[in-house]
Amino acid sequence: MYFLFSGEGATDLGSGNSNAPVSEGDDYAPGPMALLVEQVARDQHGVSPLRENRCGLVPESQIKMRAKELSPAGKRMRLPGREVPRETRYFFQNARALARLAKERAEKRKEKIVAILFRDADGAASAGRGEWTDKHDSMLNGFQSESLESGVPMIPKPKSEAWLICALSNNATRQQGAKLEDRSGNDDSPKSLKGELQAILKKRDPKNPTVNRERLNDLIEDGSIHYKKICMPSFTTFCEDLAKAIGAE
Amino acid sequence: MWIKSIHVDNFKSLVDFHLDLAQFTCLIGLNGSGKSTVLQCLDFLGQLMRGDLKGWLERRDWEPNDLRSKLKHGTTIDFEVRIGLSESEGEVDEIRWEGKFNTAEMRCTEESLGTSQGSLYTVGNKFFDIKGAPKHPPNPGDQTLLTFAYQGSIMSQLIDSFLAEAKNKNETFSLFDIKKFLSGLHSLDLLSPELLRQRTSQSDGSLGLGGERLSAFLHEMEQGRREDLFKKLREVYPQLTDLSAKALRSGLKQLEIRESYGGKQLVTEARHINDGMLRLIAILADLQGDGGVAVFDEIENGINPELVEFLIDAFTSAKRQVVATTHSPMILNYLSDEDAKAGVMYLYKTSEGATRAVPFFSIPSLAEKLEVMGPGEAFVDTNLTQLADEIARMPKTETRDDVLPVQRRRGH
Repeated sequence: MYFLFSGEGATDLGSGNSNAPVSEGDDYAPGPMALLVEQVARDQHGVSPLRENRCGLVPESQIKMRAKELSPAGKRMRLPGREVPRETRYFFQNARALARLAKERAEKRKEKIVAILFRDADGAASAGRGEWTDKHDSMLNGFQSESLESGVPMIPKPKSEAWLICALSNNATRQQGAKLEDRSGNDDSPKSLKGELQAILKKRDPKNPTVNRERLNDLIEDGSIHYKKICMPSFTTFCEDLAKAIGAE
Repeated sequence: MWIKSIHVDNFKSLVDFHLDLAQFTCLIGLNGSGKSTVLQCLDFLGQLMRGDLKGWLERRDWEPNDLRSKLKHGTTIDFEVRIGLSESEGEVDEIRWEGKFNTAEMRCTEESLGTSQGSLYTVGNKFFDIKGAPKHPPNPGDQTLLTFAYQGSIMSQLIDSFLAEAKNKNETFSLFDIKKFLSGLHSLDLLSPELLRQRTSQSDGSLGLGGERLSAFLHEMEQGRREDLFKKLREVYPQLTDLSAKALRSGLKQLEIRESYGGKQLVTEARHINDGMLRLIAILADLQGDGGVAVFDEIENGINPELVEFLIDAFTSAKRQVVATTHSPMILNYLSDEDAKAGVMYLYKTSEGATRAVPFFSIPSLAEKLEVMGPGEAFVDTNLTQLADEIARMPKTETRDDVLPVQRRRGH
């Protein structure tokens, strides 16, 4: 089983060589979300994509290029209606692009591919609009429309900082977790999640206020951030989708 | 020449309103956001150069007071039009025409037009000054006393041969060229198939507000241009064998088409031509016209989806600059990303009710969406009623000079 990741940058699933279709091995610098995937996969399913070096990253630029090819001028429009809500197309389109890449690779290498697509629910393409459930379902629809059964939406609500804050707080309850999901994803708002994560990390080590990939990875590796402490519905759904994908034929 | 931007204050919902224009500008937005008002305003600016503002108001069934905004006090409509030039037209960057239209006097009581090389004319309350014009009678300011009444811009009243002499050194264009360009700014915002079917005697160089002068317009069109128009139409109506506007004894012109079905020639008069074809004839005919900017409302009306690509190609390759409104994601989806970024303008209203325009794909979430989908898909996927929040968070920019070089390269 091979894991194909695609995210938005270094501090989620990680970064790679943007010119290569897939970055793996030394070319791939995994981010904290990839380390969380590793924790869950190892603990619950007995597989270690990172440790066993059975994973790779598709840079966002590659996904965008493939996604754009899916929309030639005037063709194949998926019009919104009762069944297709607005503000979901971005998730659908990215999922289709990753699914195609995953299918191509699975065929070439004759192995099962689990494709994990990370997008913040309230990211650059949303600006606070649209429902999380619709975005999640749209991503699943995108995988399915390309006949990929092992696609996993990884969509923190509203963004990955909320999952990390939840894991770093002392025994957060389900209610507290759910409350975090109602926060704004806007980094410029006075009570932004980004600012709060920064403050938490500064409190832990006043000499080191930086929030970057290495720092977050260290916190996951030393167990300070553990997936079991993320009691948020969007994370639970991710774990369920991952289990289904790993179990899928 | 092409219009780079307009700035208008106090015209209906256009209060301190700025709009940058591309080779093909597509205005989108919710109902009531002010799209038609922008088209009316463009027509109004063209009419200032044509004069006869009273007649213009009558044709629209408006009162002078309808022109002003209900959102502010003041009897003048202030405007500024920036005109870009292709490299062959001169070395100056732009022509700037600005003025104040007084709705009580129905004329521009203040007006100026010029380039970085100097002023071509100015109009004050009692005097005017035109480049190269003899001063009569001489007065201390070296300006000419305003001794005649007029409507709109003073340019509407001055004779062509005189305007042709008014130019700056090293500039290839004269006031006549500028007037010809600006007075060609017509809006077909009331285009209707019923009016397109009418027989008319003279076009006066335009199709008329609702397209009622189409038959005369086609009759007066040069042979070459009419042939081009016919060739274009045949691309989508291959059965078409002729398009003509024949003169009747009464002097009226009647539009008719000939089609060939199974070797049989069928002649159809305008009153029996289908709405879609009539609209297409009108649009293509207008694109063949001179000067100015071709302005259309809801271009998708009566156009079957298979013709959309043809229509967009006609707009993006037209010699004239085009401004149109649309609600159709399909229209937008046939635009290239480059054209969509430069030309799709989103209109919305502020909480006070004033219309504002923003390049749709400069809105960060739309720019992101455009990276993975077509322009029409991004449009239709976006909840426009909630878009104002994001626009309010965007940094303000004064101009979009970044897109202008693209336009210049195309020679417009």
